[in-house]
Amino acid sequence: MSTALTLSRSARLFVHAEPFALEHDAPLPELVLSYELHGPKGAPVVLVQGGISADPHVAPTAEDPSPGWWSAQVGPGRAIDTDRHRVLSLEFLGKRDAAVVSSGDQARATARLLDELGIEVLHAAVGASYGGMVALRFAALFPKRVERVVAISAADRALPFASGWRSLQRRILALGRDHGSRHEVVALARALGLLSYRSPDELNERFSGPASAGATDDRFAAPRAFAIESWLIGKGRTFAKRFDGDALARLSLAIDLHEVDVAAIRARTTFIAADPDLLVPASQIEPLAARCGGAARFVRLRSRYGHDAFLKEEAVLAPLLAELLAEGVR
Amino acid sequence: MSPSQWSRSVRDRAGTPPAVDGSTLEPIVTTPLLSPPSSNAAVSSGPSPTAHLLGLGRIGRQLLALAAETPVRWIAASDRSATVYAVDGLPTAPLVAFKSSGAPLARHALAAELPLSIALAVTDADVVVDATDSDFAPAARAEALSRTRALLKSGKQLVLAAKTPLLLDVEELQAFRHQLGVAAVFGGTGSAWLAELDEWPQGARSLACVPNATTTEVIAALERGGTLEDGLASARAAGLVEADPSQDLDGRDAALKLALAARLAFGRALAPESIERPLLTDLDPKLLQARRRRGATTRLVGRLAPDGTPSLRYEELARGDRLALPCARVGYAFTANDGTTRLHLGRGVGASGTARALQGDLATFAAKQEASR
Repeated sequence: MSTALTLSRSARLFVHAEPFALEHDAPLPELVLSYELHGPKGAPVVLVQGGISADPHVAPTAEDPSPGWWSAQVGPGRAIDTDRHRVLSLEFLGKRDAAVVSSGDQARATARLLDELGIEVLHAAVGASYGGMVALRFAALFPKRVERVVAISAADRALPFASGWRSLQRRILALGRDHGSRHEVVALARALGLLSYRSPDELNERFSGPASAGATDDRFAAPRAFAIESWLIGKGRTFAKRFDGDALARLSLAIDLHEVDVAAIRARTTFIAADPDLLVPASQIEPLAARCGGAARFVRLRSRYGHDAFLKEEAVLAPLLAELLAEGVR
Repeated sequence: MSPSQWSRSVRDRAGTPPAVDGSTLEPIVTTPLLSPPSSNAAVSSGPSPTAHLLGLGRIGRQLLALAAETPVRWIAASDRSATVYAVDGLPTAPLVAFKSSGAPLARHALAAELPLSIALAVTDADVVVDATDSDFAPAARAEALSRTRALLKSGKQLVLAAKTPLLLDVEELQAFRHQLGVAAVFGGTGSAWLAELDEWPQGARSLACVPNATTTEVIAALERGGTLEDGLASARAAGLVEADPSQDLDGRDAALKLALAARLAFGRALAPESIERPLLTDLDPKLLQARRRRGATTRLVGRLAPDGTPSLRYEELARGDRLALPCARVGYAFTANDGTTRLHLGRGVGASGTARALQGDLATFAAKQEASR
């Protein structure tokens, strides 16, 4: 009978008071999406979506000057230039909705929001990780509604290795839910995820020093704390303060349910792969350019940051994004 | 329990002064009394906790119609005229059919014409659902408050669609808030935000709400070029409005909900009468249509500022505004010091939606009781 959501200062709200059909679950009683819009009215619209933990606050705004999850790339004068583009970012279904959701559901929800906003065609859909999967699915489902797609670290489906990793995270979350340690298991699941988002080379180099003295708070831990362990658990606990375990499990599952036929895409599409990437390797992404129904190119981004390269390789990614989005914009 | 047993039970239990409202009135028991246990498939039997329904109007009947999906055992129901009781569970479907015919419960073959305070003491249900019409006449209000106070003091859980009980003194209200189910009073949202506010370390700073769905329906009609009557017809068709819509049109309903939210959420003794109310009939349809053409809309918005100042106005809201809610939705937005807002959107409007909201509170209570065993 009610829905609750947390909104940043600059968040806007779309409520479609009709049942919303889902691919793998019963319809939602209504469609509720929070979103942000950056940039001048009337400018070409760029949809920007990130990984499952990203929220709609992609960059600072006048109302909410706090950093966004992609402040490095989005903003006035930046690669996704909010002086020249109108940037739309929205929350994923499944963040609040207790339902099994798919990338197709996300795409259709996005289309509903575009209808509400009077946006017929997107200048571009830029997505990284799960956001890239959604961008591809949107382009396949609504080929006339997007002119170009930039999909970073995203493919047409999840590989078994990656699904296996996420399956274990979900089992950890379920275990915590059933045994009353929800917060700690969210931290643990996130920490496990984090390990898959980075490359072994980066972590081996970064945490190569000796273990520091001092007891840890876990009975199974070594008497000396491993630096990588402290880092992972610390990051996980920070994440657990802002992210619900059930939402994490739902969105994790949404990644594994993702499937898209890229031949149905008509937009000019750029597939960007981080190399190496444990979850979505370049070898999986590269063939998609040849299969894509629209003009497509493949870009290999060599990075020690693995799947998280889109957040870390700011300087390399910026000119590429700027070039891709500049097409057709005066 | 046979009718004779029920009579004896009434007399036995009424022999000690009922704890309900301190009344020492002797019960007036007429026979035959209430329904015997039934094997009817529609009977809500088995699951505990036990529940007593006050008010068998549209909302009460809708709630009873959900008996099969509601995890309580309906052992009693009362209207203004009488009470029916069955310790093993009321036959809810026949009761709904009887009341839908328009007859008072007193004409029911199994009714007992007891003072409500006595009936409540005797039935002794775990949870009392108050779905009576909100009557603010001094005598009715005093009676409702007395009954509410007595039930809460006796440790009962109270699930409310009626608003009058929330006009208790603010201190009392705060003291008893954990015994209250208030989802339905606030369009399905009340219990959720009340529970959440307990967990906010610094509390909420301010409130903004769209508490009345009928005005939204009328505004939508006016924006489309329709008339006030068109809007009211839509609202009636959606089950949002009573035959007399004056409380919606003159802002009394919205002012009351704003005041009640202020009392519950912020502990502010805000009197509904002290809130200045705008009239829907003063709105200029041409202005509404012009706003709509430029992508904006209009809603009756209640606000409670950080200093406690209330306001109730028809506001222009841009597309995407968090309060620009569609028809058949209400919203309560609590803002914290850091500027983040927790918005509760409710679908619990109209008789059906309100009954669902009551059902939600009952399910929550049943789950808590189960967990505490």
